[in-house]
Amino acid sequence: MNKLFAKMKNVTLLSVIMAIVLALSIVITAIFGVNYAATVSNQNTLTVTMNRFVYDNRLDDVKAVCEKEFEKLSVQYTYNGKMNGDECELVYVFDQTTKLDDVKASLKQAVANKAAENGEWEFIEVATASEVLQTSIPVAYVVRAAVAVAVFAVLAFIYVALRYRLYMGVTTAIAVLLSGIMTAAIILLARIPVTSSAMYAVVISSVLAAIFTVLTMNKIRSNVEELPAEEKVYSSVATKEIAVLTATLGVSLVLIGAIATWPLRWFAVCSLVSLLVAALIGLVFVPAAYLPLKKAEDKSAGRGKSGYIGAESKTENKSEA
Amino acid sequence: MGKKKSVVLMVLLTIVIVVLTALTVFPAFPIPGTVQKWNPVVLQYDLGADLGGGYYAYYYPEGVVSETEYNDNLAVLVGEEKTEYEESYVRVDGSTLYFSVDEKLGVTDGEALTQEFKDEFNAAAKEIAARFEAKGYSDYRVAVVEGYALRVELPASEPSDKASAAFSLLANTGELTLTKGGEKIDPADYVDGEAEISDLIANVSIGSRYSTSYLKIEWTRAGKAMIDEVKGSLSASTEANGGDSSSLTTLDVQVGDELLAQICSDNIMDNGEVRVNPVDGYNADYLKTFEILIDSALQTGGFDVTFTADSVRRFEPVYGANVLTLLYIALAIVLVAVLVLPAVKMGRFGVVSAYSSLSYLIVVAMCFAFITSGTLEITLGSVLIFLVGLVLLNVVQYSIYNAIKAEFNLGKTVESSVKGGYKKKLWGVIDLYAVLLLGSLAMLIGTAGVHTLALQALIVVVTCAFINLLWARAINFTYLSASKNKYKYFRFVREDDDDE
Repeated sequence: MNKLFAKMKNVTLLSVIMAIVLALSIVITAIFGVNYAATVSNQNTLTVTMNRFVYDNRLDDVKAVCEKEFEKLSVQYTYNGKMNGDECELVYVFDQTTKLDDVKASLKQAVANKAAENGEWEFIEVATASEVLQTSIPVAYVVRAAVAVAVFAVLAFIYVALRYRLYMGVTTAIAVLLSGIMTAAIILLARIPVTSSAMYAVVISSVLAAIFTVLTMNKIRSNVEELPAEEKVYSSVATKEIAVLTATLGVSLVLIGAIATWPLRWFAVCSLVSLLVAALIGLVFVPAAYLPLKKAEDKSAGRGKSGYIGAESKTENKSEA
Repeated sequence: MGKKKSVVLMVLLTIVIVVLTALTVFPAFPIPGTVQKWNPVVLQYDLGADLGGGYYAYYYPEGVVSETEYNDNLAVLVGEEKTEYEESYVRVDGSTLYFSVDEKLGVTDGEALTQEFKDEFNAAAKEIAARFEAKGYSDYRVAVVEGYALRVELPASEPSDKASAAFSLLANTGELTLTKGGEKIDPADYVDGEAEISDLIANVSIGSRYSTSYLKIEWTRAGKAMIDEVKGSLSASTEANGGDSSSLTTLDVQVGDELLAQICSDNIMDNGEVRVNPVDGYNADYLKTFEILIDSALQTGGFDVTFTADSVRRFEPVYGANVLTLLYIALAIVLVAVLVLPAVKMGRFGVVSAYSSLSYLIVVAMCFAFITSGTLEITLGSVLIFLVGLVLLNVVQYSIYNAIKAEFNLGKTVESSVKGGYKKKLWGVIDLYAVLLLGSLAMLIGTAGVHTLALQALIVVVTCAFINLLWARAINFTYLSASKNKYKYFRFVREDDDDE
C-alpha cells in the first residue's frame, strides 16, 4: 500500500497514466465514433397515429397491442414517446439497425382485426420512418464549452497566483483543465452513452477540481509549521473536505441513478465520473504536481536570500579584513 | 444579544423559513371551493426537453406527403378521383413518403427523384439545422425523415408562442427581398453588373437601448445609396391611421412571403442605419429569430424547395412522464440527509447548517423559477449544480465547525473560539467563492445549456457565499446567544470545565 502511495506521488507517472487514458480515448473514439445515446442518434420509428378520442380513451389498449406484436416478432424498442396536438401519436423508437417492415405489416393486421370488432380502431394509422439527425450535439456548443473551461483555467490561475503564489496558480489552472479533459476522455473511453447533458458533467468537473484545489492551496498557505516541503504539502491536502464533498455528492448521484429512469442513470454515471476524476485530481495529482513546483520556488527564493549580503556589508567586511 | 431577544428572533426565523419552504416544496393540490390549484415553486420551472418534453413539427417539401396523409387523402376519394390521386404520387428510393409526379414541382421525373430536388433538399435541410443551432436551444433535434422530410423538436422551456414562431419562420427557405409599396427593389439598379440582395444589406443584428431591443440593418455603399433614394418617399410611422400600418408606404423586408420588417422614414438614422421592430426585453427572442432568418437568407440567397409545416405537437419527456417526480423524490432524500446529518455530527451548530440548507433551497429554487422566464430553463445540469452548491455549503459549514473546534482545543472560551474560527476561515471561504464566481462568469462564454448552467451557477455561488459568510453566522449568533449550555451547543467537551 505504501509503495502504491509513493508511486501516486510521482507526477511524471500520473501524467503518463493520464496521457495513456487520453490517447486510448482518442483512438477508441476515432475507430468507433462517439457512443451517442438513443435520443441523439439516428433511429427508426414506428408511429401509431390516432385521433384525440382514441388517445384519451384507448391509449393503453393501443400500447398493449403494439407491445404484444413487438414481443411476438422479438424486436426491442429503445423508448417510446407520446405526442399530442390536433392528431395524436404514439411513437416507438428503435435502433437504426432494426428492420420494421414486418413489424409494421403485423401491427397493421392486428389493428385491422381490432377494427373489425370495434369501429374506434378504424382511425388508427401505422407508419414507419427512418430518422437521420443533422447534428447530434452541435460542434459549436462543444467548442464554446471548451473555450469557457480554458478561460476559467486562466482566471483561476490569475486569482490564485495573485492571492497565493505563482505556482499555486499554475497548479490550479492545470487541475481545472485536466479535470475537464480527463472526464471527457473517460466518458468516451468507457463508451458511456453521450447526450447533451454529458457536457454539463464535463464543465462541472472543472468547477469541482477548482473547489478541491483551492481548498488544498488554502491549507498549504495557512500551514505555518516549519516542515520539509513534501511533508508540508501532503499534510495540507484538504482530504477531509474533499472526502465529505465527494462522498455526499457521490451518494446523491447514486441515489438519483438508482431511482430514476435509464437516461437519467447515464447522466448520473457521467456526473459520478466527473466527481471522481475531480476528487482524484484534488487528492492525488494536485499535491504531486505542486510539490516539485514548490521545491523549485523555495530553492529560487532561498538562493535569492543567501546569495546577496548587501553592498555596505561587503565594504565593511573588506575594511575589517 | 439578550436571551429573550434571541428566542424571539429564533421563533420568527423558524416561522419564516417554514412558510417559505412550504411555498417552495409543498406538493400541489386543488384549492377547495375554487377551480384553482396550489402549485409550489418547484413545479413552476421552465423545464428542458429531458425533464419537460417539448414541441415538434414535421416539414414536408412541396410535392411530398407522408404515408399517413396519403392514406387519409386516399380514404376520402372514390372512383376516378381516387385513381387520379394514386397516379399523381409515386414512392421511390425505398422511402415510405409519397412524391408528386407533377413536372412543375420538379420533385420527380415521373419515376425517380430529380437530382436538382435532392441537392436542393439536402442544402436546405443543412441550412435549417444551422438556423436552429444558431438559436442556441439547450436541446433541439433536427432529423431528416425518410430521406426527404424534416422533423424538428424544441424544448418545452420555450414558450409556445415563441416555439410556434421559430417553427414557422426558421424553415422558411424563401428569398430575401426588399419591396417598396409592393414593388420589388432590384439590387442591379444600384450596383454595376449582376447584383444580389447581399450587395445592398451588409449586416443584420439586434441592438438595444434602455429596455427596448430592435432589429438593426446596416447597408453597403450601394445599399446606402438606395436607402437615401427611397427615404423621402417613405411614410413616417406616426402617419399610420389608428395603428393600421397597411396605409403606409414602407420599405418591406421579406423572406419568401413572410414580412419581417416595415421600414418607415423615421426608422432610418442619419448614417443610413435602420432601427426597426422595437420590442420589450421579453420579446427580444422574436428578433433573434428574425435576425437568424434574414442573415441565413442573405448568405444563401434562398432555396428552390419550400417546406410546409404540419401542426405543432407536444411531446412528453422522452425519459418518461414521471421522470421529474422520481428526480424530486431522490432530491428530497438528499435534502433530508443534508438536514439531519449535520445535526447529528455538529450538535446545534448542525441545526444552523440545516437552516442554512433550507435558506439555500428557498433562494435557489425561487431564483431558478422566477428570474428571466425562458432563460433559466431547468436541465439535468441545473440539478447537478444545485446539488454541488448544497453539498459545498455544508462542507464549508463543517470546515468552519472544525476551525471553531480547533480554537476551542487551544483552551479558548466558546465565544472566542467561534470568533477565532470564523476569522481563520474567512479568507479561505472568500477565495473559494471568488474562484467559483470567476468560473461561473467564464462559463457564460458557453452557448445553449452551458450558458444557462453558468447563470444558475452564478445564483448558486452568490447564494452559498452569502449564506456561509453572513447568514449562517447571523443564525449561529442568534442561536448561540439563546443557548444555555454553549458546550452542548457545539458538542464540545473540556475536562477542566471549572475554568469556564
